[in-house]
Amino acid sequence: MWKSIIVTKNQIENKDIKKIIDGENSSIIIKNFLKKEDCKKIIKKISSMNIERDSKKFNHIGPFLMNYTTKKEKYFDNAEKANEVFKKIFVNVENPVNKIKTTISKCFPNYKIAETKENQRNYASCTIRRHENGKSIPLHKDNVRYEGVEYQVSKINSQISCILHLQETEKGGNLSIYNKRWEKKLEKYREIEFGYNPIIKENILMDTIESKSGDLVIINPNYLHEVKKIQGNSDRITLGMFFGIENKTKKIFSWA
Amino acid sequence: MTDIIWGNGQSIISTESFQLNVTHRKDGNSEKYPDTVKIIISGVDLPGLSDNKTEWTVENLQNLIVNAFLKCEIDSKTQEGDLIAKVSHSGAAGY
Repeated sequence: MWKSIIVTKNQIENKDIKKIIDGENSSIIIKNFLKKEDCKKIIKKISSMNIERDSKKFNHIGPFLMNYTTKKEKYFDNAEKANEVFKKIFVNVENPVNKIKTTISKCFPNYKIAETKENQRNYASCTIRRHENGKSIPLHKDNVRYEGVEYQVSKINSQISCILHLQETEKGGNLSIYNKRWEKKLEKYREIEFGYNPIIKENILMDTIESKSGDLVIINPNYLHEVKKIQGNSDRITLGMFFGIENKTKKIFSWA
Repeated sequence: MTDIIWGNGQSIISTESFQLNVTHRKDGNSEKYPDTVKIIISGVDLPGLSDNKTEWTVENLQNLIVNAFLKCEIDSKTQEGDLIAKVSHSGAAGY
C-alpha cells in the first residue's frame, strides 16, 4: 500500500513533508483547507472577470514556468500581469496563496520563505487551471531541476507541488500518483506532445486522490502522476504552486 | 513542410553534432529516417544552452543532450546522409 497522509492544516509537520519527498507516502491531503464558500467566491470572481488566458491551447490563468523553459523574459512579463489578476481574484477571500505559504513555512521552522525574484522580477504566484469534460492530464512528472535549468529556482534540493481544489468534478478527474520516481533514463519513454508512455506505470504501486473542493493536496511531483478523464458538467478547477527547498541557505521558494 | 523526427540523444560527436536514437517520426515526412542518425545542429532551443555556438562545449552538450528527449526539425541532409537540424526540447510544457 502506498497511502496519503491526511491531516488538518494545524497538524501538518516537517516529517510529513519529508515522507512525501522520500516517497514513503504518496501525498499529504489537508481536508477543507479552504472553505467551500471561498472556493465558490473565487470561481464566481473568475467568471465575472474578462481574464486573458495564458495560452490558446489551455484555459489556464497565469504562466506555467515549464511552458517557458527557454523564454524567460516572456515568462516574467506574463507573471507580472498574472500576479495583478490574482490580487483581484482573491480580493474578497483569504488569499489562498498566502495561506498555503504560511502552512508550508510552519513545517520548516528553521527555514525562511524567500521572496522569489530573479533580476528583480517576480515569479508567478500560482496558476489556476480549468480542465473540462473529456480532458485528462497524461502521465508526467514536474522537475524544475531538469527542465527549468535557466531559472534560479532550479538550484533547489527538493520540490513539492501544492494543488488546491477549487471545484470538484461530478465524476472522474482523480489524481493518480505512482510510486516511481522520475530518472533521466525514463526519457526514452517520452511521448511527442507531453508526458510518458503508460507502459512505465505497469505493475507500479499507485494511489488515487479524489478531487474535492477545498482540499489541498501536496505531492512530490518528481513521482509520475496523471489526472484521469473528467466526466460531467463540473470542470476540474485547481490552483497550483510549487515550493523549492534549498538546504544550504535554508530558504524556501515558491513559483508556478 | 519541414520533416521532423524525435528521439533521445545517444552520444556527442563534436561541439555541434550528436547521435540521435530516433523514436518518433512525423506523419507525412518526405523521407524515411533510420533508427540512428547523426544530427548536425543548425540552431537550438534547449534550456541551458546558449544560442551562440561558439560557447558550446562537448561537456555541456553531454549534460543537455545525452538521454534527453529531443525534437529535430530537419533543414537539409549532407552528402554523407547526416541531418542538419534545429534541435529543441520536446514535450516539457505543462498541461
